Amino acid sequence: MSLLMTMTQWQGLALTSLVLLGLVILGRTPLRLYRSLMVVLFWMGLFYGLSIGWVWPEGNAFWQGHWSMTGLTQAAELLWRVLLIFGLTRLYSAVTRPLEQGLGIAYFFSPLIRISPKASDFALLLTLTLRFIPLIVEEAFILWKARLLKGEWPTSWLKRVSEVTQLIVPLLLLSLKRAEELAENLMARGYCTGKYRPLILQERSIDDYAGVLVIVVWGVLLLILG
Amino acid sequence: MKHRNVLKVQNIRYRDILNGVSLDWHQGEIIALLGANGSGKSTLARLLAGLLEPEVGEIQFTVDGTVCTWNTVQRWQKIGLVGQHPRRQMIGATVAEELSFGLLNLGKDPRWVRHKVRELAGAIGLQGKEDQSPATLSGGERQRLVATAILAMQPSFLVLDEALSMLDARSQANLLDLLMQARPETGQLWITHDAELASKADRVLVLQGGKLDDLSKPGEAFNDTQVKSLYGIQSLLDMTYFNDFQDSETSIKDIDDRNCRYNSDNPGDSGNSDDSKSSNTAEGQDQPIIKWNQTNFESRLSINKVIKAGEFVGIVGPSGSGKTTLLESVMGFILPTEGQLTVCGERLSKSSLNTLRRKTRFLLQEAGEYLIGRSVYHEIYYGDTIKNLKLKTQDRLSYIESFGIPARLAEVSPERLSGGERQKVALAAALRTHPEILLLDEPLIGLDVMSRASIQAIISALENITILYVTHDLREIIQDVDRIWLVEEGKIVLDCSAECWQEHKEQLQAAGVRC
Repeated sequence: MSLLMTMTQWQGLALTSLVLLGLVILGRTPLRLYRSLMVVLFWMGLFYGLSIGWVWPEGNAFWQGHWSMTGLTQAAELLWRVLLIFGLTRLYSAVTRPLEQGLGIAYFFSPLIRISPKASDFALLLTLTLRFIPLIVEEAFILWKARLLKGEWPTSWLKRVSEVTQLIVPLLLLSLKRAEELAENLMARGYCTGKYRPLILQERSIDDYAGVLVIVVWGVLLLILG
Repeated sequence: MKHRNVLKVQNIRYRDILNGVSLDWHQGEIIALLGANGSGKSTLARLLAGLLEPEVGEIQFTVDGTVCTWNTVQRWQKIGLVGQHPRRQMIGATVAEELSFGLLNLGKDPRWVRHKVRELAGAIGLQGKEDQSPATLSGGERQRLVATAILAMQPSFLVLDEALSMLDARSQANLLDLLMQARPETGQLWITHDAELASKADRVLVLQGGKLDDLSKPGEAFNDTQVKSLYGIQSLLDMTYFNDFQDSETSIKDIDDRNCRYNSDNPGDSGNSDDSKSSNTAEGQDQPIIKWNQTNFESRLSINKVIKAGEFVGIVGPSGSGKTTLLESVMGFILPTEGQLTVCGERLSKSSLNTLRRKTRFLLQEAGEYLIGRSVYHEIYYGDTIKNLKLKTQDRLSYIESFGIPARLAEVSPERLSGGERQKVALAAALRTHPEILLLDEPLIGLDVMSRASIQAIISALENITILYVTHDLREIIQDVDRIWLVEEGKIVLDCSAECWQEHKEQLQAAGVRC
């Protein structure tokens, strides 16, 4: 959808805005979730407005330029596209847990798995990343605690950098140990390259089919309007 | 007639760890494998599971007397392996994925797997949680999940590498139920330091000096005085207060049934109820050193207690009940959201953290795994100036030796030490600055009997220090402790003196405490 949105005209953007509004209402997400987007949009608007809307004749200094209506319209359109992509992404991440996102991506790799075992490995990589990163973060936090327990945290920046550097080696050793354990666990469960298949237990409901239909119609309309 | 498989290990050697190990292991047989930390138990487990290859000797898999070459055996299918740490063994992003991973690798039909996963999740009490991340489960639930996922692959043999050691009694019993159900079809090897668990096996083996000694049935082994002294089983039995094969009364029972200080009816007043205690009457030791005044820590812990200087408080309770949070609160890792906490006469706040942390030391769970010093010496004297670190005075080396760590190990990297030695290093580092308060979070977990004994001896000998000791096993501390707190669901539901713990034995056992 993001790709289609980079191609579509204002009609497509208007349609997508309506869909986003509908999804925000249906998803019952609180509006404060989108507050942070406003700050990003302000700065991006300023950037696009200046970089596209402000033009100056060739050979002159940039302060000798003027605002261009066409440029400002282009900047507004660009900002509109960015707003929609950011808004949809924010909504998606607000209503979908990371592990569901990972499983979803892995699931959509299923047809490719039949073609190449590498797709299966990539799908497994996604799932494992979802498992492994929190584990490493947890280990890093324990190491951090272990350091704090040893005495005061220095006030000088130079010493702080040195303290953090000293923690890198134990963290690296722990990460390698955990990665080795993970590899052993995979072997012990009979994994070999190209064998991974994601498993989603949920039965598809009417809502799921309706969702797919909406996305298909939306995509086709974007293609037509583009 | 059903096929009976046998795993024959013939004189295998691996580096300088295993030095000619032989073993016949029958399907349906449970073997307990004992041995000190670093004796090679985990290496043997990995060799049996096919994760390592023996350098010399061979392993044969026999089906009804027909020998299959080790290289042709689908080892991962025939031999399962469950490790010690529940959180480090997960593969799947969800409970369902965890249960299905091995089955799908076996080539089972996805529709059958979906049905099977629901059945398995229901059988271990995880129905409705199939789409949850395993990270949301308790330690006991996770370990059961891993064991079930592996047992679902119907291995002929299952190696449990200290798989029960981190669990409370309740979780351990649940997992044991699961293992006993699988017993007729699965040979099991329980690697453990727990004599009580070993007693439930069919056969006891001890790995010592790279060789395996068969002690036959646990009943016979634990009753034979010569065998007990030869393999250190006597101390193991003493450590765990394992009474089944002992005629004499244990030292726990020698504790006088003195005045009971149970005050669960009025837990807020517990700090004023120490009149009967005689061990901490030294001058200055009646002052409150830690005081939680109607303190709440988000929804994780709610506490209103006082601890006096010099007291030894044993904190027990099931996994996830808030025991570690309680210790972390004293250290200021978590600040009160309501009420106040006073430590060493100072109210705990962000501004007082540095001062208070100088007076308090905290031995994290598995502290030996998280040593950050370059060497043993650097770990113990971490934070010293470079000039001081270079001064390896006799005093400093003697201090290291007083913890049972030979001075020659001072310059050795902590990763090269055994589990017991690493734990001693962590304890030595914690005690070096003479803290007023010592917080210990399961300091004996995963250690062999000798390491446990020496660390317990060090802790028992500590004087003029306030100790908060978290454990699942009351037997570790019952002889030293002044008070016992039972923590459940973020609250202290029982506060009693050590003398009257037996009056609350049922309550403690129901909470998964070994006693």
